[in-house]
Amino acid sequence: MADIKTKEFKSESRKALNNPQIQKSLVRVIDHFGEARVNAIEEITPEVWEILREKARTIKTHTMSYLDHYLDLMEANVRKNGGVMHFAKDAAEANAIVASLISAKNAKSVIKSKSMISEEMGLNHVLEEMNVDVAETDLGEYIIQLAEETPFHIIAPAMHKSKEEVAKLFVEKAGTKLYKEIPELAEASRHLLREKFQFADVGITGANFMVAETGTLVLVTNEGNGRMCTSAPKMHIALAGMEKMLPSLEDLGVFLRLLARSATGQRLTSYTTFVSGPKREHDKDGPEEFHLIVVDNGRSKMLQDVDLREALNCIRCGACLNNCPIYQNVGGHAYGWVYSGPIGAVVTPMLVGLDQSKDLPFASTLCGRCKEVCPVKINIPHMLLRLRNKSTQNEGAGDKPGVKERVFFSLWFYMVKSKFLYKTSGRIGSGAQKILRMLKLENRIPFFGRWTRSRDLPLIPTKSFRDRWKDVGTAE
Amino acid sequence: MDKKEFLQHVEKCINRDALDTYPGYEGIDRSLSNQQTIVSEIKIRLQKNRSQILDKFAKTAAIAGWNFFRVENIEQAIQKTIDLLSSINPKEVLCSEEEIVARILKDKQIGSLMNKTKIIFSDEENREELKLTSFKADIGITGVDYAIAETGSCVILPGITLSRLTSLAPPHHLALVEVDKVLDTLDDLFAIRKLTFLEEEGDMGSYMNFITGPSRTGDIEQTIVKGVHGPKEVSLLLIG
Repeated sequence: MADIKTKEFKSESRKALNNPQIQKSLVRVIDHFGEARVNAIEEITPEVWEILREKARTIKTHTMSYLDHYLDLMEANVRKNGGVMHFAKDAAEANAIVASLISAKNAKSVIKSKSMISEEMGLNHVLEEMNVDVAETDLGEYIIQLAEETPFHIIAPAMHKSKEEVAKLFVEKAGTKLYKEIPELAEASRHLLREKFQFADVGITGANFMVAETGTLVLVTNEGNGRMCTSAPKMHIALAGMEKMLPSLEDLGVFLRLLARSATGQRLTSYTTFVSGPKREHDKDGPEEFHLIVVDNGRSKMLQDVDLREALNCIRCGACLNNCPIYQNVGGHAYGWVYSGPIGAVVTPMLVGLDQSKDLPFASTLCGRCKEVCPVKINIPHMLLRLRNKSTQNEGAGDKPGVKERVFFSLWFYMVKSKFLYKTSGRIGSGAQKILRMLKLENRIPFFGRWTRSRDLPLIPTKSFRDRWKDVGTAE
Repeated sequence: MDKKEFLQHVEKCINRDALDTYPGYEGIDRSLSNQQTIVSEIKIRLQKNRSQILDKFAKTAAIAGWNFFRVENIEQAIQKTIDLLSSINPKEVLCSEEEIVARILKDKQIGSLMNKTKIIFSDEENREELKLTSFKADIGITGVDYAIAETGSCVILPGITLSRLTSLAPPHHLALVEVDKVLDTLDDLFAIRKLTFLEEEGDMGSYMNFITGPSRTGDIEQTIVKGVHGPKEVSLLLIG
C-alpha cells in the first residue's frame, strides 16, 4: 500500500494554507475547471444534463447491487477475447500478480498510464525493488514521480507545481537543460518518454470503465500516453477497482458524456480507447498478452455498508474537489493518501480505516456543493455524517469526545433547562464579550482557544430572542 | 484470490436479500434481430439528415482541434493532400493500407510532385520495423471506420490494414473521412458496434479508438500544450 499520512490532516492543512505557491495554484485550477464545467453543461443544456445524471445514478446503483454477476460476466468475456482476468483481494495480492507477470516475461522496462489504483497499491515501489525501470507517462504523473510525491488532484496530479519548479525537477532528475516556458517542458517530456514508449516490454494502465457484456476496458486520456501503453509494448496489464463496472456498451453513451464535461469541460477527451483483449491474429500490431487485474482493496467494505455503498458509484472526475470550500483552501496533499476532496474524505476512511483518518469526515462544511456537482449524484454530505457518526460511536475509531467537550455540554444541558440561568448567562456572556472585544482579547477565551484560533466566536446579541419576541407582541 | 472465492465474498457483502427493492435498471435487449432493427433505423435517419449531420460534424471537429477541410471528390482530395503535404514538407510519410488512403496516396501526381518525400505503406513493413518507422515518420495518414458529429471524433478500428501507431506516433496525423462514415451521435456508434458484437458471436475486435483532436496536456499550470505524446497537429479531410 502507498504510505498513509491521513493522521496529519490538520498539520498538513496548516502548511498548505501558509504556502503561497499552493494557494496560487489552487485559485488558478479551481477557476479553470469550474468555468469549463459550467460552460460544458450550458452547451448540452441543464435539462439534458439532469437526465444523464439520473440515468447514470440508476445504472451504477443497479450495477453495484449485481456486481458479483457482472464481474463473472466480465471474466467470461475477457477470457473469450483471449485475455486473462485476475482477482486481487488487496493491494499486496495485486502487486504480487503484477510482479509475477513481469518476472515471467523477464521484463526490464515498464511504461505506465495514469492509474489511481496503482497509487493505492504503491506499485511503482514494488517494481523499483524488482529493478524494473518504471516510467509514468502522463505528464502530471511523470512530474510527481520525479518529485517523489502523491497526486495533488485526481485529474491534475501536479497542479501545485509552478513551471519553474517543474523546470528545476527536469534538470535535477531527468538531466535536461533549464527550460523557461511550458511548451518547452512539454516538448522535453515528449522526447524523454519517446524512447521508453518504443522499447518498453510492458504497458500498465488503469481503467475508467469496464464493460461486462463485451469484456471491454475503456481508457480516457488527453495526451495519448494511454494509447501508447496499449499499442507499443508486447504485454498490457490493466488494473481496475472492481467498482469500475458497467453492464453494457450502450451505458457508455451516458458516462462518456458526463465524465469529460465534469472533469475538464470537454465534450470528449482527445482519446477514448476501448481495449477488448490482446491483438488478434490478423491485427497489424498491439499487445500479444492482455491481463486485467480487478482489485477489491477495501471496496467490499463499502459495498457492505448500505449508507456508504454509493461512494462506489464515483467516476473520479474531480468536480467535487474543484467545488469544495475545504479542498479549495487546503489542496490534495493534506488528505494524506491517494484520494482527496469530499469523495476522498469518504473513500479514504473506508479503504485505510476510520481510526487512521478520523479527521477526514470532519473536513467539510456540509455545504452540499459536492452533491450538487456530482455527475452521478452521490450524496457525499450524507456519507460524511454517517462516518462522523461512526467515528463518535466508537466503531473502530475510538475517538470519544474529550473531557472539556463533555463537561461543557453537561453544563450547557443544565443551563438551558433553567429559564433564569439561560437568560442570565446570555446577558453575562454578551457583556463579557463586549469587554473582551474592547481589550482585543475576544479570541483568547479560556477553553475555546482551538475554536477561536481560526475563526471568531459569533457575537452574542445584546437583546435575547425572548425580549425581541416580546417587542414584536407589543408592536402588534 | 481465486475467482469463486472473490465473487462469493462480493455477493455476501451486497446482501441482496436485505435490499427492499432492486433499483430500476431497464436492462438491454441483447437479441440480434432487435439490434438489427435499431441499426437499420439509425441508417435511415442518417441518410435523411445527412447534410445537417455533416455541417454539425464540421463545427464539432473544428472545436475539437482538427484542421478541417471538406472536398467534393477524390480529385480534389488528391489536390488538397498535395497542398497539405507541401506545407509540412515531410521526409517520410507513413500510410495505412485502407482503400481510400491507397487511392489518394498511390496517385501518380503525388508520386511525381512529392519526389523528395518517401511514402511508406504499412503493409511493406514487419512489426518491429513498422514500430520504428511510426516513431520516425513526419506524418501518418489513415482512413477512419466512423466519425461522430456529436463530438467531432474519428473512430479507428485496427485490423489487417491499419497499425495502431500510424495515427499516434508521428507528429502529424491526416484522417481521410468519406461522408458515409459520419454518424450523428455516440449512441449510434455503440448501437452499430453492439450489432457487430452480436453478429460476430462476441468478438468485436481487439481495439477501438476515438480521436477527438490533437494530443494535449494542461498538466503544467493549466496551460494547454498540443502534442505531448501523440500528434501535435491533426488534419481531417471530409470527402464527398
